Amino acid sequence: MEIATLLSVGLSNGCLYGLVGLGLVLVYSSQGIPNFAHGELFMAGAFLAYTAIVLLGLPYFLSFLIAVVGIGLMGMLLEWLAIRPISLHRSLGRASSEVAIVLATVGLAIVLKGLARIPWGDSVRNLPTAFTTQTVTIGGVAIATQRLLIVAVTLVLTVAISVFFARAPLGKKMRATAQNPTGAKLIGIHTSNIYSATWALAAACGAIAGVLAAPLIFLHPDMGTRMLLKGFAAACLGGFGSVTGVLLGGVLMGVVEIFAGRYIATSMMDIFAPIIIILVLLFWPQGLFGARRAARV
Amino acid sequence: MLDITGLRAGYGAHEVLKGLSMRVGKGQVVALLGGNGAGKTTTLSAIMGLIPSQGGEIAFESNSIQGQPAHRVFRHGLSLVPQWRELFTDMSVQEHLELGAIACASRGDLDARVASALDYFPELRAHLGRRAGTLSGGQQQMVAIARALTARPKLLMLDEPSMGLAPLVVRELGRTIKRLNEAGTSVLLVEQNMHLALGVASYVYVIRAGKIITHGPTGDFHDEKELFHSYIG
Amino acid sequence: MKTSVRLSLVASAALALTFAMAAPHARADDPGITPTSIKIGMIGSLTGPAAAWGWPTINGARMVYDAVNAQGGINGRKIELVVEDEQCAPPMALAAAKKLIHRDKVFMLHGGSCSGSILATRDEVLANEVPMMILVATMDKIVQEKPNDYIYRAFLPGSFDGKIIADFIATMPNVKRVVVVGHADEHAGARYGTLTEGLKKHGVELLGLETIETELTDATAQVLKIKDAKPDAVVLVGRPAASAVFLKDAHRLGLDVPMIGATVVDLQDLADRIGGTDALKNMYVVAVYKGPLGSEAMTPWQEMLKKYYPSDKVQASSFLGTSGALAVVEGLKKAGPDLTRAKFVEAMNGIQNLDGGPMACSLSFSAADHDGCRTGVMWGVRDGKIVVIGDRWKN
Ligand SMILES: Nc1ncnc2c1ncn2[C@@H]1O[C@H](COP(=O)(O)OP(=O)(O)OP(=O)(O)O)[C@@H](O)[C@H]1O
Ligand SMILES: [Mg+2]
Repeated sequence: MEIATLLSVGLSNGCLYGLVGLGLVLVYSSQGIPNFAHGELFMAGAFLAYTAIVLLGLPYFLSFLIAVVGIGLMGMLLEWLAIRPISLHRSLGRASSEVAIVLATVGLAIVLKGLARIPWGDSVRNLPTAFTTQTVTIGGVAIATQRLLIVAVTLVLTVAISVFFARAPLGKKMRATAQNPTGAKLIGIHTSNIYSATWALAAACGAIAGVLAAPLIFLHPDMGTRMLLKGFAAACLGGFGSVTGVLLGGVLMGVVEIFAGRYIATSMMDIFAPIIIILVLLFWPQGLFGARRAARV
Repeated sequence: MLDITGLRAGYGAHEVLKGLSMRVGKGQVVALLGGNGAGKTTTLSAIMGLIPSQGGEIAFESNSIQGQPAHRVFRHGLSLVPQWRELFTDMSVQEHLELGAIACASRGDLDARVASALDYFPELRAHLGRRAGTLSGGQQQMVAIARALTARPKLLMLDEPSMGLAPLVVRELGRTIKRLNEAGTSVLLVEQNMHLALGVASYVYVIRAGKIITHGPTGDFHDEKELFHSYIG
Repeated sequence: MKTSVRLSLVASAALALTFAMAAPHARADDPGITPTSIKIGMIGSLTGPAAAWGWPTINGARMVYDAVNAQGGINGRKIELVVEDEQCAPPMALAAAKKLIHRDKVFMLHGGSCSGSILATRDEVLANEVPMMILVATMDKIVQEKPNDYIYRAFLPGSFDGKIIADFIATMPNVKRVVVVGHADEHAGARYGTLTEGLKKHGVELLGLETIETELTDATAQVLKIKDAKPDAVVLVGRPAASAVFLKDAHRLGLDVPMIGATVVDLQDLADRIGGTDALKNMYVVAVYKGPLGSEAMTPWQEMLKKYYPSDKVQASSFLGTSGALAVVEGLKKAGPDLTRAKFVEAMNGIQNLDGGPMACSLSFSAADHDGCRTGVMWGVRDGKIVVIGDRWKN
């Protein structure tokens, strides 16, 4: 019983970590850089949904859609405004332009957080849950409906994205560009647009995670910071390369974290993510579930 | 069909091509020969729009393609099989063939495109599901050419396709290039393997230090040794 | 000529010496006072990470001075205010204090919304012998560290929470074993000392301390662990967001022992966060006010705020600085018409049992103890409403 309760929470937390990690993996495998602004896209998604649901009074699922599409477009815009000018800057070599892009994402994170403080400040905000029934009892275990939604959405999204990459032309173009940008250009792929599309997809994933997580963790301009760390750990476990890898990594994180908190020490829970990041990067740079890392030249 | 006049291009401040002029006629196989670092790859990159050019003119079928990015140049019907092949290591052979045509407007006949590309390289049929990274060098070269073929280019540019291949495979490659040409594809072949180049090309350009130093019909270059020395200097 | 130069030099040196010796004791006219005005410098976090506390707490104190001025001031002098921003940063706070003391030449200071930053002004204030009332900073040692002849505080300091909670638990029948849940930061740490001490004194066993992160998103592990320990009550020393998460999960997982929260949280705010009072049925919180907003005890203060600062939102933090201003006004009145800093300090030290206004405590200062407010009051939820419980269980 207790195990089941812990599992249900660990699993759903893990799915959130996986979702956040997924956005990081998408940008990383296409441009080879960790997007430090991803936590802020997560935050922006939650606030956009809040605006739609609470301030405009729109229905929940419509608001969800608005948040996901809106933040997807925002991701595209950010890539166009802040990332593309750097990568097109011919005087920079590849190594220094990657460093410049990473710094640009750090800058974006700070700017977005600062901008969010202007309208939202520091006061208390709650995003409502998707369903009015807060908990359901399954086999004697009370589980929050929001957590069930998180698991369901994550599973569906993971399958959808896997299929997208395997079958959809855009997905194939993204994979090709990720693996070899020159090769992609030679077969007529407009790689800059692919980067924008990748940012849009990653941002949309971040927004989905934000809207799903917000009812559990409250809305705040800083809400993305801690999630970014967890998502990063999930992505590391997953080898920063595969869609299923990062989900497994996230779930492992979520489950181990909560069991360690319960049976070892609760003070351990939040230092878990940084420890995992360091250990994995040191000893299993390919990740635990990273079948293979996308080759980069 | 391809006319280059006074092309100047390079990398940053380092100018490699210093006023290069050459042309490829429709239905021709033209060879561009030159030593290491002469500027062959740079020429192809500039034509394809992978690097910007600083001066001169590049026209394809009387339209200027100068300054256009690679994905736009591609749409005019030019394909480049690069020196380093630039395959997608984790993707299968089949996926490579399909990707070759992914940016083409008419992709309804995708299966036909793949089948006709495979006709040139029947050996690949047995490896369609394999990841490109696991293939031998010769097979990878076949995938690189086949990927370019599914786009049905008007002009195919090959950058040292014989590099790293066994002599037997090189001879096979020569036959394939001839077949392609007979089927209507113009070819610009960059080579250091003179034997291969003279065997398939009808016209030869020799490049040294970013300039064409001599050119003429293949028949003018019957003495391979002399030709070799001309560009080694 | 020569002699006269030397003579005048000696004379002026002697004069300077006399002044230097006399100055600290009986300065005839202290800065910031004219026959018609008293200049007070206020310092608050108007911008920066604690900006949410800035203007609300300043205005909650300012309205008292406004009201006094409206009635003609104190002994014919009106209170003039100069407000400076400390941005919740120690160097900024120090710069603000220096500017107010040396450039604006204020009579006294009233300020400090961030403990860490206002602590940085302590030496400067004491060295210049400027009386100071703390605005809302809770750190004990700002006031309690010795020597301190000039700095006062008129609301509950951080560590008193712990003692009040321990005393309250002692009045609960059948509560012998408690677990403490809280953060591992300085803010919570200030409360643990007096809490453990107090519990020990009352013979209540402390089963353990469960840490929660300030950005807690889920407390399942903590709640299950606490259920295992089977405590009779739980003490919660968490910031609002984390406390809300903990209480939500405790409710879901059936941890239904009484819980006692520190002043860090506010019951109304918790109810807003959780969305209802269901999870708060068994929750008691140390509160500093006489009653919840809207209650009879708070109405005059809420109205005063509306009168002088109509655009300010009436919120829980609005009146934290009010009692400080009330104490200052009382001190200025008692110091009499020949106002000096020394007389003001003497008058402050003589204040006994002054009504704390919105605060649940009455204010008493002495030369040895400048923390004038030492009691809070317990609030709880009854029939879905927040009510004042008093300082005894089920009072
Ligand atoms: N990316 C680059 N950045 C800077 N310089 C380059 C770059 N690529 C090539 N070069 C330089 O440009 C000159 C021409 O190179 P290019 O690759 O065009 O020669 P090539 O004729 O293709 O030689 P090879 O037969 O070795 O392939 C050389 O001096 C080379 O060092
Ligand atoms: Mg080359």
